[in-house]
Amino acid sequence: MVTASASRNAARRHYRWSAALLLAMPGLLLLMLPILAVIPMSFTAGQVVEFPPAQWGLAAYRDLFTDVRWGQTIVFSLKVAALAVVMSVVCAALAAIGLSRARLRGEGFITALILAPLAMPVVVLGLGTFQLFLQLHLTGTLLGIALAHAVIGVPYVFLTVRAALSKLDLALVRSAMSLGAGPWSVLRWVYLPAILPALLSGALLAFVVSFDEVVIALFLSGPGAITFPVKLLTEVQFNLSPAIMAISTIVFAVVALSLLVGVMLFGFRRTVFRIAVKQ
Amino acid sequence: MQDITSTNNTADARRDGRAARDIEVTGLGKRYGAVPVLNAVSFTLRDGEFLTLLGPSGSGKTTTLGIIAGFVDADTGDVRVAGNSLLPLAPRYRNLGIVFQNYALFPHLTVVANVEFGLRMRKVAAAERARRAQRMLERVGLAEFAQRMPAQLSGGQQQRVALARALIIDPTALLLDEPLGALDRRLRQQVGIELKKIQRETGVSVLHVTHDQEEAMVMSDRLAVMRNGRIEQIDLPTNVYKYPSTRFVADFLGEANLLDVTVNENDGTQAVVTYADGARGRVHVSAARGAGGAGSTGTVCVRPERLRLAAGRAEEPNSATGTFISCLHLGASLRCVIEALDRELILTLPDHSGFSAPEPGTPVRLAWGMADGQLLAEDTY
Repeated sequence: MVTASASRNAARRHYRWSAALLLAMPGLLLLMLPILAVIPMSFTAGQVVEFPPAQWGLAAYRDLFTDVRWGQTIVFSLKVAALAVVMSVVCAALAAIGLSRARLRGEGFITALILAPLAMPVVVLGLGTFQLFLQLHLTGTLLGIALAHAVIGVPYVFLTVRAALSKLDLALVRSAMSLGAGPWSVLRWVYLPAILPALLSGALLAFVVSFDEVVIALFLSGPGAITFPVKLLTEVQFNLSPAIMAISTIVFAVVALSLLVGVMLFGFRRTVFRIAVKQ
Repeated sequence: MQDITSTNNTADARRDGRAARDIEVTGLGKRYGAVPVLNAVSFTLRDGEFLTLLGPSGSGKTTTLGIIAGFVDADTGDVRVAGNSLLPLAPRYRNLGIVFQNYALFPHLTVVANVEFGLRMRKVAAAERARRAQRMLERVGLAEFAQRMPAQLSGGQQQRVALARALIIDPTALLLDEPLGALDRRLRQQVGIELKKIQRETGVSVLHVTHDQEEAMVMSDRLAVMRNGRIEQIDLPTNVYKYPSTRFVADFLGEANLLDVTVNENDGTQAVVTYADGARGRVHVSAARGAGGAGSTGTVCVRPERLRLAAGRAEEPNSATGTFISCLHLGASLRCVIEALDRELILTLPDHSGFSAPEPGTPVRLAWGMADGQLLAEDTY
């Protein structure tokens, strides 16, 4: 039977990859250890950062929750990331669709321009943005940081969407048009469903890039406009306390948890996709 | 008008308003850079007719369909319905149903949502939409598959959904772009017959593009053979087969024995010719546009089933002496190869003709009637 031998082949391939993973494990563990060390360090009763803690306790967490500034920066970071994701998704998706349909002379140049933030040193990008935004009075604002983050998020969304579009059958677009669909209907009924999974994963990438970004956010920071990574960085520099270990532990837990949820979600991707697209 | 009982009335109505739904194509021309792909293509798709554009790849048939649908811009020429040009209209205002080779169903929509799509774009109310879609699905025999996703259907079923989706907008014409190309041979025949049946029931005009001559012969009311961006011949399929106008048409549609001749007399309907062995004969002049006049060289086409074996008698007008080479049994018929007039000629006989193949190398006499030989027009390009 074809299916039986195919599944046997799949199983064999599966084992081979498992072996590769086993070999990679020591390396991965070595890389993970410093991150994991943060966790015990956060559960100290004292005021000093040490490994292992002399006395176990939850003092760091108590400090964290009585200090509202940490919560504020996290909320601010989430707002920045959300706004940046919306802007980069809209821009990148439209650019990808436009470039896939129109046959332009400067197509290569435009693509290079869109992807430039990937190759550009972030410091240069941050400095340039800072200079420009000073004059536009956008430094130290939510919008300013979100705009700058949208720029570095665009390439990620653009690349994933373009990959999805390259698989889109032109006959689908033509069918829709011949059945009476105008540009918006074609976008809604053909392009959007075709690129939705790519759009979602691109948006996720853009979100992570923004939430994680520290250089540009530092350039553009101001009173009331401090993202979480910027706060973390400055605290580490000037005020290393167990509270930092506690917040790092929380972030680590949230990220690990959302990764887990994400993996589960992508297993059910088609279901999610259906619900999102229907009607 | 989707109602089967009302088909007769609809047919009457169509006959009265016949010209209103004819699609007139005049002088279409198109080049890609310096490469001409269409050259003065003109024809009329008559209301209710099944017209096939047949040709090899690169003959311009798909480009012609693309221009009518609005996906490709023409350099010259016009496409008119009831006197109004379609060319300034965007594809969505042309009201043409299109079916592609790979079905092009919307993968995220159910079968019924696919069929409804054209009505949704026309802002038809949901209840009315559902009713009409259901009836259209019944027509193509897929009513019980309404809630399936396209990927859950077989190729033939998907093609019927595509057909229903195109028909539901009551199009001026259906444009079929190699609609059976992705199906395997047996299914192709079955779906082809079904397609023809649905076309006859709905009375919709069809412009069908294919490179498969068998498909073209079976399904079409009329047949246009295309080559190098031109229409070589347009006529009833049987006429194109019986009276091919050029070597290309004779060769492309079915098998043909092409004999080099010198033309002695040509009055436009009949010609006296001299064959390669010096014998004279009289043949039909198939091409309306002037086959060669007296003194010129030309080609006579004789279909394999029109050649017969003469029982050793001498001097018939259209005859030749040849050498028997081989015979193949193809079930219902025999296909024999005989060397004569400096080439290998093919002769087919029905199996029940009682013919028994002689030894290879045996001399045989071949003959054909005046009406069996067609003097073809010279290829001008």
